[in-house]
Amino acid sequence: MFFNSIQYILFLPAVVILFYLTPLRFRWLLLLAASYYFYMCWKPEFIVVIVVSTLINYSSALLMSGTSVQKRKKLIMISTLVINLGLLVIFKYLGFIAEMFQTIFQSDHPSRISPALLLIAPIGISYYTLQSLSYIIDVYYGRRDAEKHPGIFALYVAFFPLILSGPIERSTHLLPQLREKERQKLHSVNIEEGIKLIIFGYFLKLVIADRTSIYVDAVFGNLPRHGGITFMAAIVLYSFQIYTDFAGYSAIAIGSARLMGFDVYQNFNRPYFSSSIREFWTRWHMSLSSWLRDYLFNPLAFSFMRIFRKERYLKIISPEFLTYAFAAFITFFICGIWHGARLTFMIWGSLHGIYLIIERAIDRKTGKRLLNIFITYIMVLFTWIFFRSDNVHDAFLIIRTIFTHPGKLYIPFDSDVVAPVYAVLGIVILLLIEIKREFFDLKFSLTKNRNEYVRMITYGLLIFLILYLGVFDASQFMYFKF
Amino acid sequence: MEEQAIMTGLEKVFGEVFHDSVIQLKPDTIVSDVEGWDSFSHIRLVLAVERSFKIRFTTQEIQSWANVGDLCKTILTKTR
Repeated sequence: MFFNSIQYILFLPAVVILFYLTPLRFRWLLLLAASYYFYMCWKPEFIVVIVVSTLINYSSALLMSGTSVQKRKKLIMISTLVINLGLLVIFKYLGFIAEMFQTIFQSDHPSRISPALLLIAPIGISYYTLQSLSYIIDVYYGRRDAEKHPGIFALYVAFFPLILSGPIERSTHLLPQLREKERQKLHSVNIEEGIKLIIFGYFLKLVIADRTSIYVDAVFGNLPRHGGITFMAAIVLYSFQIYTDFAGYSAIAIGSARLMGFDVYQNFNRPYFSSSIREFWTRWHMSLSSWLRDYLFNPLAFSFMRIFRKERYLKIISPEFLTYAFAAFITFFICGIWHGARLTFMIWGSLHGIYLIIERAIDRKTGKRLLNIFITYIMVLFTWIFFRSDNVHDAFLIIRTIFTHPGKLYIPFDSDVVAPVYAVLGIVILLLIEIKREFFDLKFSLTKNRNEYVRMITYGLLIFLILYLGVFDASQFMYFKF
Repeated sequence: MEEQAIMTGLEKVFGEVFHDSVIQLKPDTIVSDVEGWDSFSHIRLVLAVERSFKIRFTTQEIQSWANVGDLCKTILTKTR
């Protein structure tokens, strides 16, 4: 069951109504049952992976809090991290690792991977693994107590709005909310805000992302036929496709949780208006970037700090910079791998790591914000070429063609001609909304207007646009596969 | 070392790292309260605090800080 399916449109209101009809002390049970059912609609057998992972993390945290021996605590923490990451590697990366070994050791044989190794990764595993890891690390460092209620903890791992693609929540933020009685009372503002977010999410996904994908897929599906100008158009459209697809998903997820009073982390904050790559990563996939900062970058940086603090070896580069450079590069390389076992993702992540290091080294500050926004967007755009390409060869073909063979802009003169036009229309509407929010601190707002009729007409119009311009083929959200 | 003396020492270090000479710290000051407190300045800050107070933090100690008060407590235990 995906967010853009008819089943979800029926499932969500049913769960919300039952949620408010159920006594407070049994709500966790209702939500857990709903979450497991929601997940099992995809492949029922994979619920086993979630249940096993939940039991391991639940027990480990209790064991950690039950011991005062630091060494034992550390051993439990490390073992639990290994098990969690092991599950992720088995399901997500085993096929890739096997293929890599086969290429290295038997390069003269045709590639034959055992079908057993090509497992289908349980959907959402990358997300709920990170959510569970943060819980284990927080308990280890004493940032929170171990959760004693197995049902509440299971719900934290499997909460249906977040299980497929986040936003990646933290135990210090979401877990307490699952117990808060005041928060779970029926408030009209939560219902209104939730519905507004969901409508906006569907607009982003069905109108912009799915319309844009028609043109982008047509270009990337037949690279040799196209010239540089078409590639540039496709990459610009792709930058909006991936943004609106994931931001649309996130808005529906946050809105769904909000309907029941839960406050979930924001995932996007107009990322293409960032003045630097550093800023971009505080506005793009924020729940992942902050997770990486707290649980990967910081521990790495503090370890490197010990190595590089011996300043006598470093005459030119400061130990702080060297520490930052190593930690940032490794973090973003792993960020790339997290998206999938492909060289293109590794290059994408590495490029962002390199950008950050260069930015830190030259400390780029021109003072002209619009120019900085433009430069940052172009830099991000370049990395999307690798992210979208099926392989490195294709990515370099695109880059080469852009500089050597501009060609003509591809316009599909068949039934698909309206798709890019509708997509561009949707993007213009989105940009107008974002420009207003980014640059003009206007009190006037259509979506937050005091007059409820203005608000209703605005959202009515948005629903009309979704129904008129949207694509209703229940296509998958892109970030499910990561 | 007294808690107040540590806070005064920390304000001096923060002032140097964040180029803000009038910075005022409270035990509940967090990352978002100080302009420019990002990943890079956090590394600079930890190293500067270590140099200034002539101590060394463990990764466990650094990871357990939630605010300036936690940092102050760690320094207090290390300088006693």
